[in-house]
Amino acid sequence: MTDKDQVDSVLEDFFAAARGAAPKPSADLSARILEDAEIVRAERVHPGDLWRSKRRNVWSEFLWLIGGAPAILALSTAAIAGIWIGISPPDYMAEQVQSYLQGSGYNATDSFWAVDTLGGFTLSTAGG
Amino acid sequence: MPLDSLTNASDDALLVLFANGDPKAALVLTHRLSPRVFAYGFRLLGDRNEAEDVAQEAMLRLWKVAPNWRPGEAKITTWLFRVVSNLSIDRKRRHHSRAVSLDAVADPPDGADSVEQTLQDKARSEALQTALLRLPDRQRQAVILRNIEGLANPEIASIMGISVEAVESLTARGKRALCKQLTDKRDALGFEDDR
Repeated sequence: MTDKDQVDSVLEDFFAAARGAAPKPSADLSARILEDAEIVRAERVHPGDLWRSKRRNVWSEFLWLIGGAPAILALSTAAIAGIWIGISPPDYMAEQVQSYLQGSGYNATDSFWAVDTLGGFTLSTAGG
Repeated sequence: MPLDSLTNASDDALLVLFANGDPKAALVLTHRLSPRVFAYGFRLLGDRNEAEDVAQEAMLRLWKVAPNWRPGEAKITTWLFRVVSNLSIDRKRRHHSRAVSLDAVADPPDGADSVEQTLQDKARSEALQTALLRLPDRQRQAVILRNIEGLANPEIASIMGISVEAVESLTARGKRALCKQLTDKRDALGFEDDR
């Protein structure tokens, strides 16, 4: 009997026993594998769902960047207050604006189209 | 497609069906492949929880690769064994090997075997598993694939990414080392009674 034959004769019964008593996975493993399969299949069959979830992620990211829900609340309050003041300004505000404009030498009856937006910038300097 | 007709379909055909959106194909593939994938992972790692994690990860990779799978080019089992080998070796490098517990080796299916025979097979299987875990990774891998999974040497070479000669060398050295460990245990495991 060769060395190889001897080794095989010692081990064969062990291998046979191992083949007959193969370890078995739990039922939970099958459930986990099938859950993964369903997620992969759903992403492939309905890519829109994935896109929508990505869009939700972008929105969440934006919310986080500006400071979350409190920041949104503060911005909304400021915007509503600005619109409200624009539509229906309090009486004292008109007086304040009028006095400011008079103090600066500006006539409130002037039209804004006459305002020089390039003050101090003459044609000679523009011409080089 | 009805479930009954899928049970006779090849692994390749089932994977194509899954890639086309058939959830029943995944069910059949899971029941067909996951026990082998788990058992191989368990024999490499010696830990039930780790083997289940590896099996789940390997099957997840299979689901993801399904649309790009080219039927007939490679066997799905060969591909899975390769993935399990790599994942298991990575895990073993991260963790110390653990001793196998008796409960981790499942009972064989009910049959004509006597209770005594069943217990004896379980004890032998456990002794082999303990000895396997003492082998170097590559030797253990080659011996399991050849002598327990029953794969041919060229397929093992493909899984391990080595030549057929290297597979033969690894299995020969692995079996000699196992023989050295198990010879003394033969009497205690009832081998004399078999004669």
